[in-house]
Amino acid sequence: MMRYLQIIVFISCCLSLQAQEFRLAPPILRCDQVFFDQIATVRMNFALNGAQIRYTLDGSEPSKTSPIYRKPLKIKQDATVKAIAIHLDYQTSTIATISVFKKGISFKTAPQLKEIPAPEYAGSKAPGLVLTDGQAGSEDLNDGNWLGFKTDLGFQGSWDVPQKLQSVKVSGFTAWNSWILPPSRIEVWGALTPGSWQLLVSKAYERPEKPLEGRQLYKLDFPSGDYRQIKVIVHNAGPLPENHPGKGNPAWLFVDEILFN
Amino acid sequence: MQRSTFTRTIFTFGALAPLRRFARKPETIIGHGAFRYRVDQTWCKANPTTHPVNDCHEMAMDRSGRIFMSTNDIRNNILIYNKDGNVLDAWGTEYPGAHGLTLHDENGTEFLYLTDYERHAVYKLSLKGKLIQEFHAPLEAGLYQQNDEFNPTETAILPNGDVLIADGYGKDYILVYGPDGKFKRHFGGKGTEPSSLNNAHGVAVDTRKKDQPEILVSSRADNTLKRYDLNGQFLGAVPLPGAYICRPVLKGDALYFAVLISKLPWDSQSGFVCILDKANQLVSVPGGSDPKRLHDTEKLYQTVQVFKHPHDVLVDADENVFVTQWNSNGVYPIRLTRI
Repeated sequence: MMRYLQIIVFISCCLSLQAQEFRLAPPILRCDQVFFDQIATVRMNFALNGAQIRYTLDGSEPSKTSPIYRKPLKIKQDATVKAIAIHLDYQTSTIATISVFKKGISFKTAPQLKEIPAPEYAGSKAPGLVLTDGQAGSEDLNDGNWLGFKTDLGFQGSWDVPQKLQSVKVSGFTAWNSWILPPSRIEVWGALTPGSWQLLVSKAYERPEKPLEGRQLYKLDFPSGDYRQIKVIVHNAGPLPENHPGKGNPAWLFVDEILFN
Repeated sequence: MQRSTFTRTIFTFGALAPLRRFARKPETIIGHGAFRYRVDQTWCKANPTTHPVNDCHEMAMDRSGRIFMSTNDIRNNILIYNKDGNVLDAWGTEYPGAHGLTLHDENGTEFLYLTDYERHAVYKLSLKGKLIQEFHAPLEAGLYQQNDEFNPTETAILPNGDVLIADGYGKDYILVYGPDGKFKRHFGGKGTEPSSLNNAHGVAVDTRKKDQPEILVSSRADNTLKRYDLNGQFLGAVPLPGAYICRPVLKGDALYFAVLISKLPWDSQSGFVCILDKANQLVSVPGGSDPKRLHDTEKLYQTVQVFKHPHDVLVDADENVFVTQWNSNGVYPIRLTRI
């Protein structure tokens, strides 16, 4: 009996001596819609025989013991899906991430913007609509769903009847090499009677040495209340910092959607 | 007795574990169907101190089986390898944008056509590097205002000796010159028409259909191969979503090419190699997604990170594939040995 165990252990030792030379690429994650009404469907692909995809839904890092992806995921709440590809012959991939967000309260009349977006990134319709149409921008920043600014972004919208609000989510894009930085600060102002503005929340964002790339969501919570007017001011990061190749030049600010819940 | 055996077993495991780092690396097999390959990263025996490279752009093989490779390192723009990966010779110090490299047998004498996007010209050279002829922007034809709008990336030679030049980093025309260097005509060019080209990075003459030779052009930013007849009339497109195709390379009934990246940005290190059959159907994707498991509209993607930014392939007589890479820390060509 022990002899068998010994043999088995010895064989596993020999197998484990095989170092894995190459790493897997991260799996491909897609969703039917980034901003969804009821349900978002997230699909994962990795067409390599013998590979598995393992994922998490709570934003934590997936590991070799996380659930195995077998069929499309139906998602009903804001979620950050993270996944890895694993295979016996290769090193585990880095993490692929996709986030989906439940849509917020819509506007009947187009919200207004204080600043005009740069002409090359002015969106495919009125700027206030681009930010509230539920359409997510792709990795192609010219797809008409993104607005790009070298200034701050001042957004103002209103409703006929008071709306109960407790959070605002700003969906932006970061690409260090394309000079697109995260905002430095976001303020949310509300008014129940027109013009009676009060600051609901103001949040400053520390800029790390190199910020996270791609879509980023900035969520601002405030005590629940009724409002008929809402104002969101997204502050541009300002001149590019010392550690950036384009230091001193204005940074870009990119936003495709603002959600009100 | 039992306990001692068990202890010994554990000790065996414990003693062997540190050896893992010295372990011989396992074979890596990539590709699909009939086109599968063993990855050999150590094929090239070049020494970076004596034969430095920057981007390794393209390769061509002469009659005697020597492999010529272009690099934009002006200490040696052309490296010449034997089939075992030893450097036989090196030359060229004046081509800062050395890029497209095509070998042509002209009545028994072999010549190289080297494009230089920095010097805005194409050079016809002997195999020893002697300059024979130059091709420049056809300013007189009114297509270009200035010479520096012309940034050629590739050449191909038509059966009648005419020279095709792909202006892949310029205006994306395919320019046709006579063997005497006189500009004749053009086709392609940037745009959104079916016959337009966007980043016309590579061009080749496809003689797989004996009676109907075609010109194949990679419209790299469109992830599409475009087909033209020898007069430049558009015949059709072969869309390959996700594949930023460098240049088409023909060998036997198969069409090979390096895919620089499969997603933006341009330095995303997401490349691989593709092989298409005679009907231009994808049959193997070494380093990328299994073509049999892709849905119709699904983009191709990298699965195994064997390559960063593959830029060209060369296929030898035994159908082994050599792969050069752009922007990949000066890595020499990788050999894929067909199994």
